[in-house]
Amino acid sequence: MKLTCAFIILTAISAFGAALPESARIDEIIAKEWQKNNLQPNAPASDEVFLRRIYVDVVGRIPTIEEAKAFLISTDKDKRTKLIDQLLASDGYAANYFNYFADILRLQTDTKGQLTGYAYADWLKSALKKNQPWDSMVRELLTTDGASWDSGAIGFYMRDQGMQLDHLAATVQVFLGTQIVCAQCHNHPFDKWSQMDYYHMAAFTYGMDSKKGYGLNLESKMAPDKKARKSPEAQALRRDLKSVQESIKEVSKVLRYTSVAETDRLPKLPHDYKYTDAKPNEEVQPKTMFGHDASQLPGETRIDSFARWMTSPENPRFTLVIANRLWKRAMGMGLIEPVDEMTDSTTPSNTELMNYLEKLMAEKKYDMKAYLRVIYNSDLYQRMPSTKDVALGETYHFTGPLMRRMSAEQIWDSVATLIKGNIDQQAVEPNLAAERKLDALGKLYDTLNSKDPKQLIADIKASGGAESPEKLAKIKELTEQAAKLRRDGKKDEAAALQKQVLALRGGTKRDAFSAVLGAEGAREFQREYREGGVKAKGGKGKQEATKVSLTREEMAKIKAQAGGDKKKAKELINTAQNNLRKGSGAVIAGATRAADLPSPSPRGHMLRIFGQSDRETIENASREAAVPQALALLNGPVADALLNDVSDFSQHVNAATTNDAKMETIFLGLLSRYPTANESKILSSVMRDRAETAKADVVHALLNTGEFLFVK
Amino acid sequence: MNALLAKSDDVSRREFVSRMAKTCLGVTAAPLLMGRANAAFEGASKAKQVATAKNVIYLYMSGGMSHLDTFNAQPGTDEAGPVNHIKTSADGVLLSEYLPLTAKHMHHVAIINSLASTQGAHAQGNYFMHTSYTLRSTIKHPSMGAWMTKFQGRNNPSLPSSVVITNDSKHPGAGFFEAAVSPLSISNPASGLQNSKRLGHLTEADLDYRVSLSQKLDAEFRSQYDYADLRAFGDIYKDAVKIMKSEDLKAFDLNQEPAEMHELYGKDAFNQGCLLARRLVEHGVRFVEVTLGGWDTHNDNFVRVPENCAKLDQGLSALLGDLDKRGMLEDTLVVVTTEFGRTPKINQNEGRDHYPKVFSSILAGGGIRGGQIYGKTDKGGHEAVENKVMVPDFNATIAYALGLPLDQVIFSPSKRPFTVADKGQPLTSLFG
Repeated sequence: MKLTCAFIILTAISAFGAALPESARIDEIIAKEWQKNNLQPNAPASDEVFLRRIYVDVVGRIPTIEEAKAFLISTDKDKRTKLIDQLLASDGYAANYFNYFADILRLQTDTKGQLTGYAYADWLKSALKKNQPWDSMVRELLTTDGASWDSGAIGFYMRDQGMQLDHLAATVQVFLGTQIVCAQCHNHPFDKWSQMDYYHMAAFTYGMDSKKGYGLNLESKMAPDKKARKSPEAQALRRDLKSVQESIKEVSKVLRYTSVAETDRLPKLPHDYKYTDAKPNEEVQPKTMFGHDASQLPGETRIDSFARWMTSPENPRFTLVIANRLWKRAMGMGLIEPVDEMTDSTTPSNTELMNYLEKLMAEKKYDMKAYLRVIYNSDLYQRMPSTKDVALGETYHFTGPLMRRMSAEQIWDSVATLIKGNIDQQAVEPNLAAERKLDALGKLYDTLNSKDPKQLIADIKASGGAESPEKLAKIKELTEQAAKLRRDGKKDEAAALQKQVLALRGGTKRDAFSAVLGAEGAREFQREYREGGVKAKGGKGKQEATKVSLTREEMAKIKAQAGGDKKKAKELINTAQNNLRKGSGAVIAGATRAADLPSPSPRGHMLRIFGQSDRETIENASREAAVPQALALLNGPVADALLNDVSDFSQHVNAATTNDAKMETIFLGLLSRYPTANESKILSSVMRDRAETAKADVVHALLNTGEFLFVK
Repeated sequence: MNALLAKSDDVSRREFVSRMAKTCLGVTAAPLLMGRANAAFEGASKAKQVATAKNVIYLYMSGGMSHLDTFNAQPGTDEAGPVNHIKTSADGVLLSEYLPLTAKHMHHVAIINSLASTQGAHAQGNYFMHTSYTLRSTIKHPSMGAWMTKFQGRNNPSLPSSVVITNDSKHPGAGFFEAAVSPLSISNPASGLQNSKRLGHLTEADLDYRVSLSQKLDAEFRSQYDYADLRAFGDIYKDAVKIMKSEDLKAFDLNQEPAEMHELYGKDAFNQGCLLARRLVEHGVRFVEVTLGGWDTHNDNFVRVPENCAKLDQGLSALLGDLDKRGMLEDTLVVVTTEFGRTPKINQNEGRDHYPKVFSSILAGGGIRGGQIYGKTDKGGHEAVENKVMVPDFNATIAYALGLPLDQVIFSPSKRPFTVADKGQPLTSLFG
């Protein structure tokens, strides 16, 4: 019995054979696992299954109708390997992996320091786009200081401003797959880490200060040391400075959350430290938690040596974690689960394979595309998915990949693909609006710091700034008048005066900028910084005019309703178009890669309904089914958006000449395959029974199938 | 109930509502404590009582509501600025002149004037007030509505037990609890439950046809793969179709309210939110939060606070009066709170800055004895001089009113122990 099985397995392997020697090595190792456990591998995946899976896995979207046709028709025996390479080279890869890493890094653009958030997002996209090796990315994140107009990588520290200790726990969890957060407050109850270990580790990153380093350190500039600060001259200056502080505050405000300074600050133990190895409030020196020491080489700072230690192939967990994470991305499950809770007793489900993958990652020099290319080219990856999921606690022997529901972003990007066609050319573009604003901030910063403080104070005084006494008096007077009016019950008049007050106050803010930058400088700043939103694509900022058109069915309905009354028909058309603009029209206009939308999307957005992470905690995305998802696909605007004549999908369907060809195109667009014989029968009956609405019925129905949302 | 549900027998209806509630609306049929809860927690209050409140309507003043210009009346002080003070329906209780309508309901209200927070920034203060824990980047703590659902399940099986009406996407929601106890979030009170209405151009028969066609076309795929995720996906469709036809959907529909109710509560989003809150509670939702923003008055405090107060005053007074009239105030606790107060000293922009050191909140109904002021500040409202209340104590008081066990430990998935209101001590003297 056993012999036969082994024989079958061997023939199954030799049946197609992987394209790369490293891929073949994976297949060889996994075949031993099947043999040992008396298992049959899953059948090889058909072209249709492979096609949809590789698109979603690499570029995070389903293929377009043209892409699907081209691949299915091709007789090139290397077509799979070629497609893998083509997709890995596309910007869709960066968009897809951006969503993944943004969830891991908790990257937010909807928070304080929004511009730094956008710069951080742009940094991550560009790193993925140029395929920066993972170790180099991590080093850059750990060591970058300065301003966000110079590098968005400072977003790594800015994300957790004022929470350096928490930030360290996240850093260790994300890059080293180890949870030490408990040890922040007391020795770890389930692992070996002591609170002292935690503080030793935190001492490496604690100097990266995201609170200092912005604004106008005028005082220290005027009097660099303590002694100088006491001189009568310095004190006079300080008084002077006070008299213009409103203007300075107003101007500095925009520079908040834009820079990180590298300092030599060290963490102190908490005041209630209860262990005997040190006293409360004692400063703690850096020391690594495992592996070799992170001693500073000549020319290296503390954080440099830490980054070198973290990303070294010698580090016992760094390589392992990323190798396992990317394996899980491709296969649906890690060889180590969970991926970020490793302890000394953790053993992979297949040690030989894990060891090989770890070695492979190091050999590929942390080139994630090269590593993924090996996995995608394995026979194992190119098999049918297992027909059953893996129960909690059960070991999976990888007889093929596991089936997965698309992530929220993959669903959204697939919808965008159906509407716009191949969306990869426009993906992961830098956020130009944010860049423009950041440039303006950079200029503001330089101008302020290049000016002599005395001159600056004199300039502000001369032009009045935010402190203009006349204006402040006027504001006070109007406020009092408004209060009196309100007391007398004259609410409307009071409200009118209140509006004037707020307008005046806005004026004094602008005056502060004029005083500091000069009238021309302030105007330029206003133009560059204030105008235009940063949400860019799909947001309020720059949005293409929405093209909407009513379907023929809708037009027919309206005509019937109006019954020849042209005016009424026009009104009805207008209303319908307005509704369209708000509903499916908004989907069409916003059909942009999720990676290029705000991170995360606001609550209630389709992305959030389908489980996009709120990016508050690490890997917080969910693929769980919930009723709002069904409601969104049944009653939300997506179905109408796909059926709208402007969508790429509809154009292809409309171009098909026969009804059967139309149905085939619908299947190809939504499921990347042709209908089966059985389905063709169902479709014929739909066409017979429903005539005019048949097409819309089938599209809406397929959109709501498990087969659309899940990837085999 | 509609025909479909009326036809089905009791058991299957129960099954349906419980599953629907679980997957859709953030509720579960039974308290979700199985195997999780643990022994009492050191330092946590052992105070327990039979719940005096079944429901909570929690009005959150986002941005930091000035205590001096609202509930902490300090007549005759410089700190009060230009604000006059008015008598209320409660003996000896004064209010800011900005709240004339609320003044008529003060016999139902307990003011707490000695509340203090440790957090002086918005995000941190807001999070602390909502969770009793400080904001961390390694964990997200649950909000009160989620704790309540966790401990007590829900009231109406087909509605969520907690709803948040806000535009703030940072609400902590379920925190580290499972998504099933997450409050349902509504950003626009007027638009009801998202995507619950059929597309305009489809008849009910059209949609039914498409749903059944979808199942036919998906049948082969679903029979091939035995995955829990896929089965769950199938279930949500049955439930989605039922909820669209359910009577309970009307709980979300403000059009069902007569014009005079809209008139009474007001037209602003916050005011409509108050009306929706009353409606939801009436239908069995137990914890409803409504947010009113715009309180961050660094500039022109005395221009902007009265504007905000006008909304609060109308919404709050309408709510208290309406609940009272319907006999619902007895078991509905109404809370008005915020992340911190504002500086007693008026700054040179006629504004007030952040002030966590002491501020005010109110509690009404749900077993609270009205007409009282708890805690005291010095003249001018700079610091608490009597009965200082920390944020966790305030939250423990809400939990106490709901009858939640303050000392019951729940472990996060990272195996860290937490209690509702983080060891706060409830202000039991406010009740009765």
